[in-house]
Amino acid sequence: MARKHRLRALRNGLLCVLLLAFLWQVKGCPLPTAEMEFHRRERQHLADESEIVLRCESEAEGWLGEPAMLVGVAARTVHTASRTHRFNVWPKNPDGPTLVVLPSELALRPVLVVGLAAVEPPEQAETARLTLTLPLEAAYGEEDVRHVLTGRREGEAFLFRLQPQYDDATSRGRAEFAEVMSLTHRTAGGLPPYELAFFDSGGGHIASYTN
Amino acid sequence: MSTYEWLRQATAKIRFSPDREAVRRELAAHLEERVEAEKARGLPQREAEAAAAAAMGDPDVLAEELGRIHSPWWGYLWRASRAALALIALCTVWVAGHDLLDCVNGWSRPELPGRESVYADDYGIEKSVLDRWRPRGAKKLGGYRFTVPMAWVEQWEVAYEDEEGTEVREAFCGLTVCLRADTWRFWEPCSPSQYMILDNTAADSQGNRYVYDGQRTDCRSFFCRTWSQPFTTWYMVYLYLPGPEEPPEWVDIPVGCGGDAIRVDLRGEVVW
Repeated sequence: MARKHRLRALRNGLLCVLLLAFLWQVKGCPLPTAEMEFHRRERQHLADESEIVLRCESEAEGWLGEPAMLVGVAARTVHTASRTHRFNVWPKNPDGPTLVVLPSELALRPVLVVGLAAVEPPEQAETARLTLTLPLEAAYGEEDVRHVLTGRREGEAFLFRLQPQYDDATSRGRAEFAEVMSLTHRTAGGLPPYELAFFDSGGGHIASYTN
Repeated sequence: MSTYEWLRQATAKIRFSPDREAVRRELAAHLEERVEAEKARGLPQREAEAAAAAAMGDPDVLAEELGRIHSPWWGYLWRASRAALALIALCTVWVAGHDLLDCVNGWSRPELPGRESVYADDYGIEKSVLDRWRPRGAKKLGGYRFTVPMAWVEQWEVAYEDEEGTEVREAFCGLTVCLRADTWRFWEPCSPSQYMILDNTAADSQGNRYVYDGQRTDCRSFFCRTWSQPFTTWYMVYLYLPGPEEPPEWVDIPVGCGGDAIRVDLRGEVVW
Protein backbone atom coordinates (compact mmCIF):
# COMPACT_ATOMS: atom_id res chain seq x y z
CA MET A 1 0.00 0.00 0.00
CA ALA A 2 2.89 2.30 0.81
CA ARG A 3 4.34 1.49 -2.61
CA LYS A 4 1.03 2.38 -4.28
CA HIS A 5 0.91 5.75 -2.44
CA ARG A 6 4.55 6.38 -3.31
CA LEU A 7 3.95 5.76 -7.02
CA ARG A 8 0.84 7.91 -7.04
CA ALA A 9 2.61 10.74 -5.19
CA LEU A 10 5.47 10.53 -7.68
CA ARG A 11 3.10 10.58 -10.63
CA ASN A 12 1.23 13.60 -9.22
CA GLY A 13 4.50 15.35 -8.47
CA LEU A 14 5.66 14.83 -12.03
CA LEU A 15 2.39 16.16 -13.42
CA CYS A 16 2.71 19.22 -11.13
CA VAL A 17 6.21 19.89 -12.45
CA LEU A 18 5.04 19.55 -16.07
CA LEU A 19 2.07 21.87 -15.54
CA LEU A 20 4.23 24.44 -13.72
CA ALA A 21 6.78 24.31 -16.52
CA PHE A 22 3.99 24.80 -19.04
CA LEU A 23 2.57 27.76 -17.06
CA TRP A 24 6.05 29.27 -16.82
CA GLN A 25 6.53 28.91 -20.56
CA VAL A 26 3.15 30.48 -21.36
CA LYS A 27 4.04 33.44 -19.14
CA GLY A 28 7.29 33.98 -21.08
CA CYS A 29 9.64 32.14 -18.71
CA PRO A 30 10.26 35.13 -16.40
CA LEU A 31 13.43 34.95 -14.31
CA PRO A 32 13.58 36.24 -10.72
CA THR A 33 16.22 38.94 -11.18
CA ALA A 34 17.15 41.48 -13.86
CA GLU A 35 20.73 40.17 -13.75
CA MET A 36 19.63 36.62 -14.63
CA GLU A 37 17.48 38.01 -17.42
CA PHE A 38 20.47 40.02 -18.71
CA HIS A 39 22.74 36.98 -18.86
CA ARG A 40 20.01 34.95 -20.50
CA ARG A 41 19.74 37.53 -23.28
CA GLU A 42 23.51 37.32 -23.74
CA ARG A 43 23.25 33.59 -24.31
CA GLN A 44 20.26 34.01 -26.65
CA HIS A 45 22.23 36.50 -28.73
CA LEU A 46 25.32 34.28 -28.80
CA ALA A 47 27.25 37.05 -27.06
CA ASP A 48 30.12 36.50 -24.63
CA GLU A 49 29.11 36.42 -20.98
CA SER A 50 29.81 39.76 -19.34
CA GLU A 51 30.40 41.04 -15.84
CA ILE A 52 27.72 43.53 -14.84
CA VAL A 53 29.36 46.82 -13.89
CA LEU A 54 26.42 49.20 -13.68
CA ARG A 55 22.79 49.01 -12.70
CA CYS A 56 20.50 52.02 -13.12
CA GLU A 57 16.85 52.61 -12.52
CA SER A 58 14.88 54.03 -15.42
CA GLU A 59 11.79 56.09 -14.79
CA ALA A 60 10.42 55.21 -18.23
CA GLU A 61 11.06 51.48 -17.71
CA GLY A 62 9.44 51.74 -14.30
CA TRP A 63 6.13 52.59 -15.96
CA LEU A 64 6.46 49.43 -18.08
CA GLY A 65 7.42 47.19 -15.16
CA GLU A 66 10.98 46.34 -14.19
CA PRO A 67 12.94 49.65 -14.05
CA ALA A 68 16.48 48.21 -14.08
CA MET A 69 18.93 48.90 -16.87
CA LEU A 70 22.17 46.98 -16.86
CA VAL A 71 25.59 47.44 -18.41
CA GLY A 72 27.94 44.45 -18.67
CA VAL A 73 31.55 44.26 -19.83
CA ALA A 74 32.77 41.15 -21.71
CA ALA A 75 36.14 40.39 -23.27
CA ARG A 76 35.51 42.20 -26.56
CA THR A 77 32.18 43.94 -26.11
CA VAL A 78 30.00 45.98 -23.78
CA HIS A 79 26.35 45.04 -23.45
CA THR A 80 23.38 47.17 -22.45
CA ALA A 81 19.84 45.97 -21.88
CA SER A 82 16.64 46.39 -20.00
CA ARG A 83 13.68 44.00 -19.85
CA THR A 84 11.75 45.83 -22.54
CA HIS A 85 14.47 47.30 -24.72
CA ARG A 86 16.63 45.70 -27.33
CA PHE A 87 19.80 43.99 -26.23
CA ASN A 88 22.65 46.21 -27.51
CA VAL A 89 26.22 45.18 -28.15
CA TRP A 90 28.93 47.84 -28.31
CA PRO A 91 32.47 46.97 -29.43
CA LYS A 92 35.02 47.79 -26.75
CA ASN A 93 37.33 50.70 -27.37
CA PRO A 94 40.80 49.11 -27.62
CA ASP A 95 42.47 52.40 -26.64
CA GLY A 96 40.61 53.16 -23.44
CA PRO A 97 37.22 53.39 -21.77
CA THR A 98 34.10 52.67 -23.82
CA LEU A 99 31.20 55.11 -23.84
CA VAL A 100 27.74 53.59 -24.21
CA VAL A 101 24.21 54.91 -24.05
CA LEU A 102 21.75 53.36 -21.61
CA PRO A 103 18.83 51.70 -23.41
CA SER A 104 16.10 53.82 -21.86
CA GLU A 105 15.64 57.27 -20.38
CA LEU A 106 16.70 57.86 -16.77
CA ALA A 107 13.89 60.37 -16.47
CA LEU A 108 11.14 61.53 -18.79
CA ARG A 109 8.93 64.02 -17.04
CA PRO A 110 9.13 66.88 -16.43
CA VAL A 111 12.64 66.78 -17.94
CA LEU A 112 14.11 64.23 -20.32
CA VAL A 113 17.35 62.73 -18.97
CA VAL A 114 19.34 60.16 -20.95
CA GLY A 115 22.19 58.26 -19.33
CA LEU A 116 25.62 57.58 -20.80
CA ALA A 117 28.12 55.28 -19.12
CA ALA A 118 31.89 55.15 -19.50
CA VAL A 119 33.07 51.66 -18.58
CA GLU A 120 36.59 50.49 -17.71
CA PRO A 121 37.79 53.98 -16.70
CA PRO A 122 41.35 54.52 -15.43
CA GLU A 123 41.65 53.06 -11.92
CA GLN A 124 42.83 56.27 -10.28
CA ALA A 125 40.03 58.31 -11.84
CA GLU A 126 37.75 59.96 -9.29
CA THR A 127 35.89 62.35 -11.58
CA ALA A 128 35.19 62.50 -15.28
CA ARG A 129 34.03 65.08 -17.78
CA LEU A 130 32.18 64.33 -20.99
CA THR A 131 32.02 66.98 -23.71
CA LEU A 132 29.43 66.01 -26.28
CA THR A 133 28.39 67.89 -29.42
CA LEU A 134 24.89 67.13 -30.66
CA PRO A 135 24.87 67.54 -34.46
CA LEU A 136 21.60 69.39 -35.12
CA GLU A 137 22.59 71.26 -38.28
CA ALA A 138 22.59 68.39 -40.76
CA ALA A 139 19.35 66.75 -39.59
CA TYR A 140 17.34 69.72 -38.29
CA GLY A 141 18.94 72.84 -39.72
CA GLU A 142 19.69 74.15 -36.23
CA GLU A 143 23.00 75.10 -34.69
CA ASP A 144 24.88 72.24 -33.02
CA VAL A 145 24.59 72.08 -29.22
CA ARG A 146 27.59 71.40 -26.99
CA HIS A 147 27.10 69.71 -23.61
CA VAL A 148 29.71 69.47 -20.87
CA LEU A 149 28.73 66.84 -18.30
CA THR A 150 30.34 65.79 -15.04
CA GLY A 151 30.32 62.09 -14.41
CA ARG A 152 29.54 60.36 -11.16
CA ARG A 153 31.53 57.23 -10.39
CA GLU A 154 29.28 54.25 -9.83
CA GLY A 155 31.38 51.19 -9.12
CA GLU A 156 33.34 50.28 -12.22
CA ALA A 157 31.78 52.95 -14.46
CA PHE A 158 31.11 56.66 -14.68
CA LEU A 159 27.52 57.74 -15.26
CA PHE A 160 26.67 60.94 -17.13
CA ARG A 161 23.21 62.49 -17.20
CA LEU A 162 22.36 64.30 -20.43
CA GLN A 163 19.36 66.56 -20.64
CA PRO A 164 18.33 69.16 -23.23
CA GLN A 165 19.48 72.72 -22.57
CA TYR A 166 16.88 74.54 -24.64
CA ASP A 167 13.18 75.00 -24.12
CA ASP A 168 11.30 72.53 -26.29
CA ALA A 169 8.82 75.29 -27.20
CA THR A 170 11.51 76.59 -29.58
CA SER A 171 12.53 74.82 -32.79
CA ARG A 172 16.10 74.45 -31.52
CA GLY A 173 14.77 72.98 -28.30
CA ARG A 174 12.59 70.52 -30.17
CA ALA A 175 15.49 69.48 -32.38
CA GLU A 176 17.71 69.02 -29.32
CA PHE A 177 15.01 67.03 -27.53
CA ALA A 178 14.61 64.70 -30.55
CA GLU A 179 18.37 64.23 -30.85
CA VAL A 180 18.79 63.46 -27.13
CA MET A 181 15.85 61.04 -27.20
CA SER A 182 17.23 59.29 -30.30
CA LEU A 183 20.48 58.48 -28.48
CA THR A 184 18.74 55.64 -26.63
CA HIS A 185 18.17 53.93 -29.98
CA ARG A 186 21.75 54.28 -31.14
CA THR A 187 24.10 51.41 -31.45
CA ALA A 188 27.85 51.41 -31.80
CA GLY A 189 29.11 53.89 -34.33
CA GLY A 190 26.13 56.16 -33.85
CA LEU A 191 27.47 58.34 -31.04
CA PRO A 192 27.92 62.06 -31.68
CA PRO A 193 31.45 63.51 -31.41
CA TYR A 194 32.67 63.49 -27.80
CA GLU A 195 35.68 63.94 -25.57
CA LEU A 196 35.97 61.95 -22.35
CA ALA A 197 38.42 63.26 -19.72
CA PHE A 198 39.34 61.67 -16.39
CA PHE A 199 40.79 63.33 -13.28
CA ASP A 200 42.29 61.98 -10.08
CA SER A 201 41.27 62.86 -6.52
CA GLY A 202 43.39 66.03 -6.60
CA GLY A 203 41.78 67.21 -9.82
CA GLY A 204 44.87 66.28 -11.85
CA HIS A 205 44.17 65.28 -15.44
CA ILE A 206 44.82 61.56 -16.09
CA ALA A 207 43.79 60.99 -19.71
CA SER A 208 41.38 62.06 -22.45
CA TYR A 209 39.70 60.02 -25.16
CA THR A 210 37.73 61.03 -28.25
CA ASN A 211 35.77 59.16 -30.92
CA MET B 1 -15.99 -10.14 21.28
CA SER B 2 -18.02 -9.35 18.18
CA THR B 3 -16.34 -9.24 14.78
CA TYR B 4 -17.10 -5.51 14.55
CA GLU B 5 -15.31 -4.85 17.83
CA TRP B 6 -12.41 -7.10 16.86
CA LEU B 7 -11.98 -5.27 13.53
CA ARG B 8 -12.15 -1.89 15.23
CA GLN B 9 -9.42 -2.80 17.73
CA ALA B 10 -7.19 -4.55 15.16
CA THR B 11 -7.11 -1.55 12.80
CA ALA B 12 -7.07 1.21 15.43
CA LYS B 13 -3.31 1.93 15.02
CA ILE B 14 -3.50 2.47 11.23
CA ARG B 15 -3.56 6.28 11.10
CA PHE B 16 -4.18 6.86 7.41
CA SER B 17 -7.93 6.32 6.93
CA PRO B 18 -7.96 4.90 3.35
CA ASP B 19 -5.36 2.30 4.41
CA ARG B 20 -7.37 1.56 7.53
CA GLU B 21 -10.51 0.99 5.48
CA ALA B 22 -8.71 -1.24 2.97
CA VAL B 23 -7.13 -3.40 5.69
CA ARG B 24 -10.45 -3.58 7.53
CA ARG B 25 -12.18 -4.85 4.39
CA GLU B 26 -9.53 -7.52 3.91
CA LEU B 27 -9.67 -8.66 7.55
CA ALA B 28 -13.47 -8.58 7.44
CA ALA B 29 -13.42 -11.00 4.48
CA HIS B 30 -11.17 -13.37 6.43
CA LEU B 31 -13.41 -13.07 9.51
CA GLU B 32 -16.53 -13.75 7.44
CA GLU B 33 -15.00 -16.97 6.11
CA ARG B 34 -14.21 -18.13 9.66
CA VAL B 35 -17.71 -17.19 10.89
CA GLU B 36 -19.29 -19.24 8.08
CA ALA B 37 -17.03 -22.16 8.97
CA GLU B 38 -18.06 -21.95 12.63
CA LYS B 39 -21.71 -21.69 11.68
CA ALA B 40 -21.34 -24.77 9.49
CA ARG B 41 -20.18 -26.65 12.61
CA GLY B 42 -23.53 -25.76 14.20
CA LEU B 43 -22.68 -22.66 16.29
CA PRO B 44 -25.25 -19.84 16.41
CA GLN B 45 -24.31 -16.44 14.91
CA ARG B 46 -23.02 -14.72 18.08
CA GLU B 47 -20.91 -17.63 19.26
CA ALA B 48 -19.65 -18.23 15.74
CA GLU B 49 -18.45 -14.57 15.60
CA ALA B 50 -16.82 -14.83 19.03
CA ALA B 51 -15.06 -18.05 18.03
CA ALA B 52 -13.90 -16.56 14.73
CA ALA B 53 -12.60 -13.43 16.50
CA ALA B 54 -10.74 -15.55 19.04
CA ALA B 55 -9.20 -17.65 16.26
CA MET B 56 -7.86 -14.51 14.53
CA GLY B 57 -5.70 -13.69 17.53
CA ASP B 58 -5.19 -10.82 19.94
CA PRO B 59 -6.44 -7.65 18.17
CA ASP B 60 -4.13 -5.35 20.18
CA VAL B 61 -1.01 -7.25 19.15
CA LEU B 62 -2.18 -7.24 15.54
CA ALA B 63 -2.98 -3.52 15.77
CA GLU B 64 0.62 -2.77 16.83
CA GLU B 65 2.01 -4.76 13.92
CA LEU B 66 -0.38 -3.23 11.37
CA GLY B 67 0.35 0.27 12.65
CA ARG B 68 4.05 -0.31 12.21
CA ILE B 69 3.68 -1.69 8.65
CA HIS B 70 1.22 0.96 7.39
CA SER B 71 3.09 4.20 7.98
CA PRO B 72 0.80 7.12 7.18
CA TRP B 73 3.42 9.44 5.64
CA TRP B 74 3.27 8.13 2.09
CA GLY B 75 -0.50 8.38 2.29
CA TYR B 76 -0.34 11.98 3.50
CA LEU B 77 2.15 12.77 0.73
CA TRP B 78 -0.13 11.25 -1.88
CA ARG B 79 -3.07 13.33 -0.57
CA ALA B 80 -0.96 16.49 -0.57
CA SER B 81 0.27 15.83 -4.11
CA ARG B 82 -3.30 15.28 -5.24
CA ALA B 83 -4.40 18.62 -3.74
CA ALA B 84 -1.38 20.40 -5.26
CA LEU B 85 -2.10 18.90 -8.68
CA ALA B 86 -5.75 20.00 -8.51
CA LEU B 87 -4.72 23.52 -7.51
CA ILE B 88 -2.07 23.82 -10.22
CA ALA B 89 -4.44 22.39 -12.85
CA LEU B 90 -7.02 24.99 -11.84
CA CYS B 91 -4.39 27.75 -12.01
CA THR B 92 -3.31 26.55 -15.43
CA VAL B 93 -6.82 26.74 -16.77
CA TRP B 94 -7.55 30.08 -15.03
CA VAL B 95 -4.30 31.93 -15.69
CA ALA B 96 -3.13 30.37 -18.91
CA GLY B 97 -6.51 30.04 -20.54
CA HIS B 98 -6.33 33.47 -22.11
CA ASP B 99 -2.55 33.66 -22.48
CA LEU B 100 -2.41 30.17 -23.93
CA LEU B 101 -4.22 31.26 -27.06
CA ASP B 102 -1.84 34.14 -27.62
CA CYS B 103 1.10 31.91 -26.82
CA VAL B 104 0.06 29.10 -29.14
CA ASN B 105 -0.79 31.58 -31.90
CA GLY B 106 2.76 32.84 -31.55
CA TRP B 107 4.17 29.38 -32.25
CA SER B 108 4.65 29.19 -35.97
CA ARG B 109 7.07 27.89 -38.52
CA PRO B 110 7.86 29.02 -42.04
CA GLU B 111 6.24 27.47 -45.07
CA LEU B 112 8.90 25.85 -47.22
CA PRO B 113 8.24 25.32 -50.93
CA GLY B 114 7.17 21.78 -51.70
CA ARG B 115 7.94 19.78 -54.78
CA GLU B 116 6.27 22.32 -57.06
CA SER B 117 8.55 24.60 -59.04
CA VAL B 118 6.22 27.59 -58.84
CA TYR B 119 4.62 28.85 -55.65
CA ALA B 120 3.04 32.03 -54.29
CA ASP B 121 4.76 33.59 -51.28
CA ASP B 122 3.04 35.22 -48.28
CA TYR B 123 2.56 38.41 -50.29
CA GLY B 124 0.99 36.60 -53.22
CA ILE B 125 4.00 37.03 -55.51
CA GLU B 126 4.50 34.08 -57.84
CA LYS B 127 8.02 32.71 -57.61
CA SER B 128 9.80 30.08 -59.69
CA VAL B 129 12.16 27.80 -57.82
CA LEU B 130 15.19 27.27 -60.04
CA ASP B 131 17.22 25.03 -57.77
CA ARG B 132 16.99 23.72 -54.23
CA TRP B 133 19.27 22.02 -51.72
CA ARG B 134 18.86 20.19 -48.42
CA PRO B 135 22.27 20.56 -46.73
CA ARG B 136 23.23 17.95 -44.16
CA GLY B 137 25.06 18.53 -40.93
CA ALA B 138 24.77 21.03 -38.12
CA LYS B 139 26.78 23.65 -36.32
CA LYS B 140 26.71 24.19 -32.56
CA LEU B 141 26.91 27.81 -31.43
CA GLY B 142 26.46 28.53 -27.74
CA GLY B 143 23.79 26.16 -26.54
CA TYR B 144 22.08 25.99 -29.92
CA ARG B 145 22.23 23.53 -32.78
CA PHE B 146 21.92 25.21 -36.16
CA THR B 147 20.76 23.28 -39.22
CA VAL B 148 19.62 24.28 -42.69
CA PRO B 149 16.49 22.31 -43.64
CA MET B 150 16.44 23.88 -47.10
CA ALA B 151 17.95 26.50 -49.36
CA TRP B 152 16.73 27.46 -52.78
CA VAL B 153 17.21 29.92 -55.63
CA GLU B 154 14.08 31.55 -56.96
CA GLN B 155 13.14 34.10 -59.54
CA TRP B 156 10.18 36.46 -59.68
CA GLU B 157 8.94 39.59 -61.38
CA VAL B 158 7.51 42.72 -59.89
CA ALA B 159 5.32 45.05 -61.96
CA TYR B 160 4.94 48.71 -61.16
CA GLU B 161 4.17 52.00 -62.91
CA ASP B 162 6.91 54.50 -63.58
CA GLU B 163 6.53 58.30 -63.37
CA GLU B 164 4.93 58.38 -66.81
CA GLY B 165 2.40 55.72 -65.90
CA THR B 166 4.04 53.06 -68.05
CA GLU B 167 4.07 49.57 -66.62
CA VAL B 168 7.57 48.36 -65.82
CA ARG B 169 8.42 44.77 -65.04
CA GLU B 170 11.56 44.12 -63.05
CA ALA B 171 13.02 40.67 -62.54
CA PHE B 172 14.62 39.62 -59.27
CA CYS B 173 16.61 36.61 -58.26
CA GLY B 174 17.15 35.52 -54.68
CA LEU B 175 18.78 32.83 -52.64
CA THR B 176 16.68 31.86 -49.64
CA VAL B 177 18.37 30.04 -46.77
CA CYS B 178 16.17 28.57 -44.05
CA LEU B 179 18.11 28.37 -40.76
CA ARG B 180 16.84 26.48 -37.77
CA ALA B 181 18.19 26.87 -34.20
CA ASP B 182 17.20 24.14 -31.75
CA THR B 183 17.70 23.86 -28.00
CA TRP B 184 16.26 21.71 -25.23
CA ARG B 185 16.29 24.76 -22.93
CA PHE B 186 12.78 25.94 -23.78
CA TRP B 187 13.14 28.90 -21.41
CA GLU B 188 15.83 30.48 -23.58
CA PRO B 189 15.28 29.81 -27.28
CA CYS B 190 17.67 31.54 -29.65
CA SER B 191 16.65 35.17 -29.99
CA PRO B 192 13.87 35.58 -32.59
CA SER B 193 15.08 39.09 -33.43
CA GLN B 194 15.81 39.50 -37.13
CA TYR B 195 18.81 41.63 -36.10
CA MET B 196 20.55 38.41 -35.06
CA ILE B 197 21.24 38.14 -38.79
CA LEU B 198 20.76 41.67 -40.11
CA ASP B 199 23.23 43.43 -37.82
CA ASN B 200 26.00 41.54 -39.62
CA THR B 201 27.32 41.17 -43.17
CA ALA B 202 26.77 37.97 -45.16
CA ALA B 203 29.16 36.86 -47.89
CA ASP B 204 29.29 34.29 -50.65
CA SER B 205 31.90 32.45 -52.72
CA GLN B 206 31.53 34.91 -55.61
CA GLY B 207 32.79 37.78 -53.48
CA ASN B 208 29.38 39.37 -52.94
CA ARG B 209 28.65 40.90 -49.57
CA TYR B 210 25.13 41.41 -48.25
CA VAL B 211 23.95 44.04 -45.79
CA TYR B 212 20.57 45.21 -44.54
CA ASP B 213 21.46 48.87 -45.09
CA GLY B 214 19.82 49.87 -48.37
CA GLN B 215 22.09 52.91 -48.61
CA ARG B 216 25.23 50.89 -49.27
CA THR B 217 26.03 50.66 -52.97
CA ASP B 218 29.11 48.45 -52.53
CA CYS B 219 27.07 45.57 -51.12
CA ARG B 220 24.00 43.65 -52.13
CA SER B 221 21.02 43.58 -49.83
CA PHE B 222 19.44 40.90 -47.72
CA PHE B 223 16.73 40.69 -45.13
CA CYS B 224 15.40 38.17 -42.68
CA ARG B 225 12.15 36.94 -41.19
CA THR B 226 11.88 34.89 -38.04
CA TRP B 227 9.46 32.45 -36.42
CA SER B 228 9.65 31.02 -32.93
CA GLN B 229 8.45 27.89 -31.15
CA PRO B 230 9.25 26.66 -27.61
CA PHE B 231 12.41 24.74 -28.58
CA THR B 232 13.13 26.14 -32.04
CA THR B 233 13.76 29.48 -33.70
CA TRP B 234 13.59 29.79 -37.48
CA TYR B 235 15.41 32.37 -39.58
CA MET B 236 14.56 32.80 -43.23
CA VAL B 237 17.40 34.72 -44.83
CA TYR B 238 16.71 36.24 -48.25
CA LEU B 239 19.78 37.26 -50.25
CA TYR B 240 19.33 39.23 -53.47
CA LEU B 241 21.58 37.67 -56.09
CA PRO B 242 22.93 39.48 -59.16
CA GLY B 243 21.22 36.92 -61.42
CA PRO B 244 20.09 33.33 -61.75
CA GLU B 245 22.96 32.20 -64.00
CA GLU B 246 25.21 30.64 -61.43
CA PRO B 247 24.31 30.60 -57.73
CA PRO B 248 27.27 30.78 -55.32
CA GLU B 249 29.01 27.59 -54.18
CA TRP B 250 28.67 28.62 -50.55
CA VAL B 251 27.18 31.38 -48.42
CA ASP B 252 28.38 32.54 -44.99
CA ILE B 253 25.44 33.59 -42.82
CA PRO B 254 26.59 35.49 -39.72
CA VAL B 255 24.50 34.83 -36.59
CA GLY B 256 24.32 36.70 -33.32
CA CYS B 257 26.56 39.17 -31.61
CA GLY B 258 29.60 36.96 -31.09
CA GLY B 259 31.05 37.11 -34.60
CA ASP B 260 30.02 33.55 -35.49
CA ALA B 261 28.89 32.50 -38.96
CA ILE B 262 27.36 29.43 -40.53
CA ARG B 263 28.72 28.32 -43.87
CA VAL B 264 26.08 26.78 -46.09
CA ASP B 265 27.91 24.81 -48.76
CA LEU B 266 25.39 24.49 -51.59
CA ARG B 267 27.62 22.47 -53.90
CA GLY B 268 28.51 19.93 -51.21
CA GLU B 269 25.07 20.25 -49.58
CA VAL B 270 26.56 20.48 -46.13
CA VAL B 271 26.56 22.94 -43.24
CA TRP B 272 29.66 23.85 -41.24
